[in-house]
Amino acid sequence: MKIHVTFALCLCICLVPALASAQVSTVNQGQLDFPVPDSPAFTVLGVNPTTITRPTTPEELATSLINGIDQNGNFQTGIALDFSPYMLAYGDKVGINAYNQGCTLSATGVNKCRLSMLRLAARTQLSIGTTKGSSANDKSAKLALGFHFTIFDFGDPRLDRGFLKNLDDAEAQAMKFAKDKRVTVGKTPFPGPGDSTGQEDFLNDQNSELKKLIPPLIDAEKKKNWNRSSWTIAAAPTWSSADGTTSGFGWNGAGVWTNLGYGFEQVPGLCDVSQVVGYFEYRNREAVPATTISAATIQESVHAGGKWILGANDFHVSAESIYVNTRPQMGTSEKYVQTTIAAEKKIADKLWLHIGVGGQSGRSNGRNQMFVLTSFNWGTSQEAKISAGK
Amino acid sequence: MSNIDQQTATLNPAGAIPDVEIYFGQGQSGRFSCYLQDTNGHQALIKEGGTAIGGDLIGFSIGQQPGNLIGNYLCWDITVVSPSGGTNEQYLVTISIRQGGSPVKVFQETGPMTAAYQSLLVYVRFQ
Repeated sequence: MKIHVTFALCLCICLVPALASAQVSTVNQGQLDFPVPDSPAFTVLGVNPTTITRPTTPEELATSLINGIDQNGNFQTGIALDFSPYMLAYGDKVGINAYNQGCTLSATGVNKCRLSMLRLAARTQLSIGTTKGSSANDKSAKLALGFHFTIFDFGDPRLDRGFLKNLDDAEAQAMKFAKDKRVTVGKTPFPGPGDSTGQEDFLNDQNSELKKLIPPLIDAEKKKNWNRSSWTIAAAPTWSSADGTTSGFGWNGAGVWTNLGYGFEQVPGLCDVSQVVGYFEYRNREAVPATTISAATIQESVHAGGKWILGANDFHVSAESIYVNTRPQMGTSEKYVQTTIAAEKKIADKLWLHIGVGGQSGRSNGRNQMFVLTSFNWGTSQEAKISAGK
Repeated sequence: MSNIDQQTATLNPAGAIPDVEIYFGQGQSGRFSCYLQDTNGHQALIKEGGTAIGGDLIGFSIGQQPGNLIGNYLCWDITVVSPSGGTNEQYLVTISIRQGGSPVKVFQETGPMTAAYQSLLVYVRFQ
């Protein structure tokens, strides 16, 4: 512990001069998430709806759509819908064993699955969003459709038969707990059909045991799968209408995102600790809000990047680079590459040492300065900063 | 839907020994135990199983002549677990009771996953 703290202090002293000229104040700003939005319709409209309707039956979907359109066929209020069309229509016919067909364990003990049209269909999400002008003079309306495709995801917990067996064992244990509790006091294992108190007690006992057993298993599975290979694609076309009428809708741009992660499933040693992620984003007619130095405008933008993460329990390294090209209708276009290398080491419980170095090149203003970043996280709420790019 | 459901199934006393199928849909993990409770309140375990071993559709025989089942209850303890945690997901359990291959009663327990797990008690009274 003493050696670790000394090391941290030395690093801090060495890097103080560099910090003074840093362009960015923390390492965290150099760590990119490469997100593909779950509901791209809302992302492309630039809204974050407080209430999203997630219909669970075709009837609920129809009702939601009808409620959002007035008698003249125009949108009444903001619509925010998000659902899986396939699961909405056919989820009743999708058992978990049908869903995970074609999956086997690889030589390194992780899942290896064939591409599956069923899984692709089941995990395809459709989002629908609308916005209307916010003032009496602004009658405009915007509409976006968002498509989110998971082409494959080896980290899908439904594909891990070992995990499913653990869940099954936990369910069996919870059932046994509730029944044994009744039997030990001389009752039948199962509450009778007229015993409403016994039924409630039985469900409470079983649920309390499930609550104790199931969430930790799911959390552990998520942690185990942090670096599994996956490929997601999202796209969201938009339309706008100046007068708010449905007949007035015309093209208003689109957004496309994709994220491809590789988790070294067949490489012993790396399969549990490393991931490479590639990312691409294109936005057409993206709204850029006004700032103190520039007026609101629209722009075309491209982001393309890559990231490599190596993560053991107490030591993480990431190297990432992103190309950014923005072309606003008003203002200056920018084109640059930002590269960051970051590392963090757990030196005690809830105490991580972070260090990062990075630079930008190709800025239109011609400044190509290197910057050095450090930050220390002390305290009980601090956690690792480097995470998977999914 | 309530987590406790009561159903009835009308058997043909002269028909074949009834059998049962339970199916878990919506891509969820499921487990059940099925008891037969006679008119004196005695309970006997008929079958227990789950999707991890038995598959999505699990069938079994009740093992008694239909004439002896009138007034008895088939009691189901069912748990459904969402492997991904249950957010914005549904569960569906379909139970069908058949005699000689023909359905006598088919019903579904369905609804939103309010947590990563869901417990259900289902009673089917034979008449």
